Amino acid sequence: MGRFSRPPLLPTIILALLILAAVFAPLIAPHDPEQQSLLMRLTPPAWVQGGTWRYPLGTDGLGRDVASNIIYGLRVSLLAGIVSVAISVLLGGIAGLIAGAAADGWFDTVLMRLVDIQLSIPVVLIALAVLALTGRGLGKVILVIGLVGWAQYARLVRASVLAERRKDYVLAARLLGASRRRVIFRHLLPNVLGPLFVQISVDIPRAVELEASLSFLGLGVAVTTPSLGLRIAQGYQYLFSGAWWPSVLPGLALVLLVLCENLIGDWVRDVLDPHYRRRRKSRIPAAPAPTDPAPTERTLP
Amino acid sequence: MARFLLTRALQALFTLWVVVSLVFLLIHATGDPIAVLAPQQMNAHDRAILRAALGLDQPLTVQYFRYWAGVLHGNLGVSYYSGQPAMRLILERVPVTLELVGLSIGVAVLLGVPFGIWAAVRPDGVADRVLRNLSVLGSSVPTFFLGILLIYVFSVAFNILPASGAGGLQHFIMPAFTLAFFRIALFTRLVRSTLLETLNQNHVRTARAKGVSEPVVILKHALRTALLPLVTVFGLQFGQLFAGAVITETIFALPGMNRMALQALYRLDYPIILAYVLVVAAMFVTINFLVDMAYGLLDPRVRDHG
Amino acid sequence: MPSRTIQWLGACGIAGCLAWTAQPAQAAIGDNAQQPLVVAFKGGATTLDPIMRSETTTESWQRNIFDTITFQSAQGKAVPRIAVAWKNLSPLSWQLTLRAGVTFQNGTPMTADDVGQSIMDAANNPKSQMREFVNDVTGFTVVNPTTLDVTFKQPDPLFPLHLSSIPVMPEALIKQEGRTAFAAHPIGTGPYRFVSWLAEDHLNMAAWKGYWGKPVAFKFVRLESIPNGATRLAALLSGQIEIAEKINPEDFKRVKSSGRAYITSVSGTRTMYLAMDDWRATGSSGMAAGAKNPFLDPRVRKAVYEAIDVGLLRDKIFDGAATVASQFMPPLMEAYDPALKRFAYSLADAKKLLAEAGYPHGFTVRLDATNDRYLEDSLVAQALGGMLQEVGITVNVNAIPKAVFFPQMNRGDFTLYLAGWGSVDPLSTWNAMFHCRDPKLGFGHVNREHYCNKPADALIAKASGTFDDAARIKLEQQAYALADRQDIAYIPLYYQDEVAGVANGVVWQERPDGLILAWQMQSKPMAGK
Repeated sequence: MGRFSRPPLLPTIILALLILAAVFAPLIAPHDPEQQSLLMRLTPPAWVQGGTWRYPLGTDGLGRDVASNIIYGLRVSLLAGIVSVAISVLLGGIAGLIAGAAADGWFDTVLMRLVDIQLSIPVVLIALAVLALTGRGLGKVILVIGLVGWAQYARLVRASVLAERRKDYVLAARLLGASRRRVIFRHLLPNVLGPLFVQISVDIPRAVELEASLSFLGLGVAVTTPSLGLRIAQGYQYLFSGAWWPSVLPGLALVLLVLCENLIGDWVRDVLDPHYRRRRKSRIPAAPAPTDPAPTERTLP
Repeated sequence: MARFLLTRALQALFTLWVVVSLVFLLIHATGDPIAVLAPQQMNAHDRAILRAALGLDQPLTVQYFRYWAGVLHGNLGVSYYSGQPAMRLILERVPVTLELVGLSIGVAVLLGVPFGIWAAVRPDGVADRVLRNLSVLGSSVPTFFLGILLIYVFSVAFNILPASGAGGLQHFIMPAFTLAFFRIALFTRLVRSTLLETLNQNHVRTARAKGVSEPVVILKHALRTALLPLVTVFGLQFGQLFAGAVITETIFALPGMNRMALQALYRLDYPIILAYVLVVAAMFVTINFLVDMAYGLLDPRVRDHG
Repeated sequence: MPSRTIQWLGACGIAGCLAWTAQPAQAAIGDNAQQPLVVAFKGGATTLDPIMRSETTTESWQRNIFDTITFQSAQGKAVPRIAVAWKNLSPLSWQLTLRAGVTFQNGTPMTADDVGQSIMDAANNPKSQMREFVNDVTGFTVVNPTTLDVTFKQPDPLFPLHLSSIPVMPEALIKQEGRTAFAAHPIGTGPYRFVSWLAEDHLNMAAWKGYWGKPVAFKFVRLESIPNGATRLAALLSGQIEIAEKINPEDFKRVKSSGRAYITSVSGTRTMYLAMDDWRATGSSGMAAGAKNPFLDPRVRKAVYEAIDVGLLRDKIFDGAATVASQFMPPLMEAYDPALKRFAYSLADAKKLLAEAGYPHGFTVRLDATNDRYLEDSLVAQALGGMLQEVGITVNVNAIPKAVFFPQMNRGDFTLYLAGWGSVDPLSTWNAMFHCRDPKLGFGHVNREHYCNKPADALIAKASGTFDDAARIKLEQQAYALADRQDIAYIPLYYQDEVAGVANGVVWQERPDGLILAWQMQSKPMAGK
């Protein structure tokens, strides 16, 4: 095997297909996801008796096409996953960089307290507060998820910076009179990127799950937005009278998406985390990890 | 040592104070409890009386100082909905949450640790690869979806397990497994990677070189060293579930404190929300402290220098 | 408790536990504390203090332990309970004759003073949610141990009906031990005594031997909360519980075909309606910035009314378990007029009206609704959006949690919204929902749409002082006809049905007020046993 192992084939293909479906949703979806027909409600999938190919995956309790809702739902999930993590990385990354570069300064102390505090406030509470202040909507949910996630990145980046700071090349750069900003951006930042990407690859699927969970609890997107979590919640009550498709099919789509993301995330970690890679490939003692990714769970158990 | 404990205690109190204050501000921004509490037909005059009776007519600063004055006297307020002390209501529901979390962590440890060892014995072997993929699956199924599927299969289709409430142990089988599912995967991965790391450490390699048998090496030498990070994660997981098992408690209608807090949030029962946050934050602080202590007990290096 | 079950886990394998869950069929329901009659509600009582919460489930639980002074029959009339007779001595005074020989569950005899104090407590306790029923009461005098005179600052011809919401409490005991302790271990004069409970989860009760009335059919009763409709159904069909309230419409068939249980339903007292902004010319929050508010035009209101096919909602969303509203007042209210009909569903007429009003291509509006308050609320809101689309009105449905919805609604933030109103009586409903707004006198406090019809208000004012039932009802009906037909103050949609699934061994008929009362249940020997 070469220096970089290849990404896992099947998950990559499936994820690519899911992303393509999400991007080109308007072209692929057979129906407008919000278009409802009460007369056709709870039509089973085409292959089940009573189904029709007009609604290949059936319709939900309002007569909306399940297939179209899944395709648009993937769009919402991916958007929520990527944008919210971007917000977390931006907020947490900047804070962590500054704190790490100025370790033991007042900013560092304040930041670390803030991280503690952030981690003690339940996610649901933040979601409800934002919801009440600004109303429901995809943008707001993304903001909530982004806000919830920043602390981890601040921690991670700070720790990486601290570890790098002590190394010779940084000391050398500082001795040579490089400005603090230059040290941060030219020397520290590139070395922090590895662990950062590992954390991001773990976080995107988690953010996807969190959006679905919040929407499931009614604290997420507007009821007409085709979020997978919301559709599962809406289809849930019909599950027990035999109509499994409005909840189970979006659920399977969600699991598939998160599963592929996780498998690819594993690969990213193998490639980018030298600590982890070495440990797997040989029995040479590994240097202590700069940070173990904090085993906090950003989904709702 | 006393100085260290004092510093830690002060830090903890400071964190508690900030968390509760932040939440206090947050919830007062979320809406008007009277609008949810009062029956729709109640007129403005009666609403004003109710508002005054709950102290919600006062300026926010007054409410804030009143709240802390109450806390200092051990009074966390009275629920707007039940008229009972908020702390008592929370504590009444702690046993259910504790039972749920205890069982699920127990199940996760009982399954995850052996799986992890099995996977670590032969890295990249068949067992390792199967478990690896299974563990990815475990962290890919959202709790609420797993819960729904379990209810469908075991309560509706086969009707062998109750889907709601907290009567006997049978009520906890599905919820505990739902919560444990992700954690079995987590613990498997964690045990595997920690073991692999310790298997390479000097004292383990020395033991091997001395001809100690492989099971003994793994169980006695490697696992003992690996116990430290494991205990940390068990502790953190316990804390996170104890203060976060909201979806599981909701889906299975368990009268635990997390579901109660969610309901209190929906209807803005401030005293309960604040009491809950106080309990949760206090618990996190305690767990962090206990994890530190565990480090001290289990790791000679920390113990000797601590 | 946790440690015990953890030991249990060790003791019995998972397989053993599974076998253990299969419980034997019950021989006689409710005969011993181990096999109580179980009634499952969607929610649970939040408190056992009987004046603190005016909400159906809480009242259902409490009113097995507490008696109310009068009782509302299934026909909506006041019938005797603790008060056995009443007459009004003057417009500002009612005389109640009380039942003799009633005792509280701690053995203390109930006195006329207890009853009088209970009324005053409901009227004056700042946290009381029963104030509205007795707001006009000024005081009482005990004439003799079974006679009580109550005085008023304003005439209340519906006082006997209002007393059906006032519980009899042991006032001396409450004074002595405080309300908190009282609510933790409530004592009333009702058919069941309190055994144990967990707020919003379950309440265990046992028949009280000293009860003044007919002995109850089930000695031990457990009320519990099973929030999920499908789970309640599964518990009912597997024999774990005897009554499950609020069965989802799509599950009726399964109950009927199970052979173990039956469905009982009745048209309830909650009217679901659409409200429209009736006062802002522009700047209504549900319209685009600067857009004119179309709902000021009565033709638009009528067009929206006629564009909604409530029959389709009933059939497709509620599977028949809702009653199409002919008027705002539900059938249980005395002001209900059987002669009054809905405007017929007609897309053609609606389009014509919209064109006449200057909206041939419709307009865009936001429809606000709750998603956690009423049966299928967000589903109905979305369906309404789809229906209005048919006449060209583009509707953005905004279904939000009640904690966010109600504050906004109370501020009058909405342009078009879906809500429900549980009527207590026609007079108070009018004064709250329909009366021209007058904050000083307390009129129209929930009339957020600023509906105003002075002649109709005058009819109601006259009715409020009319003690002759027939004359009062006529006045009320005239006023509501003006609001419903002439002005379209609100668009009434449907009355929610009260629905429950009941095991075959129990006889229970749902009540229009939605209360489920264990003491009104009968047992029925199971056929073929």
